[in-house]
Amino acid sequence: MQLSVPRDLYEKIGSKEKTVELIRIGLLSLRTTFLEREIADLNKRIRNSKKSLAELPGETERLDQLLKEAIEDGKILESLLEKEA
Amino acid sequence: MKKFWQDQVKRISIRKDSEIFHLAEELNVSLDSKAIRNVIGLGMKASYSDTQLEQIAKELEEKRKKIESDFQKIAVQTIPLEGKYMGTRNQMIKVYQDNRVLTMYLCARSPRNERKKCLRDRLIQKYIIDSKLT
Repeated sequence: MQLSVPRDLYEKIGSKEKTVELIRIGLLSLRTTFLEREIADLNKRIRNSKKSLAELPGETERLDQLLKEAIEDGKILESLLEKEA
Repeated sequence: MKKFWQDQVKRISIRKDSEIFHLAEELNVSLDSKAIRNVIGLGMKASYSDTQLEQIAKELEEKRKKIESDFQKIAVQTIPLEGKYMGTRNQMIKVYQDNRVLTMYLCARSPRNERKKCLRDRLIQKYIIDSKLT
């Protein structure tokens, strides 16, 4: 397999071995950056999940209460419409 | 044009199973001359040797796996709660929409009974005037 290295850069570096080494170091450096980003992203998702975990039961309970009230309102509405019909 | 291009690059042979190809594939990095220029630039700027970078990457990989496992454990707890929340929310939206339709019918009625009149006004206020469902 062949790699096409910009000639000016190759001449600046001076040898094939050093060029290959720098490519390898560059890729390893990129890999650590990607891993750091992945870790930061996962930490952010964990924070959001923990927040949801803390807030969802209360929010669901609040909605459940509103739902019960709405169901009661529905019964009242039907009764008012029936009686007025 | 081809000759000019050949003059601009130096082709170097490396083994097909070289780590460079594995890394490039893993990182989804192409190995054209422009990308190689950038990668070499990174290599020149790197503050660590290849051995140190390998060690850092190994430690980060272990850390990532642990955090991913923690995230999975939290997600397992969050998913049913989200499901319950969404289920309640959807049910509530449906009941609100039904009530809104019934309230619109009620708008055309005018009960004589004072209590029913109060109920009617309250429901019109709630499901039509104050309603966020449009």
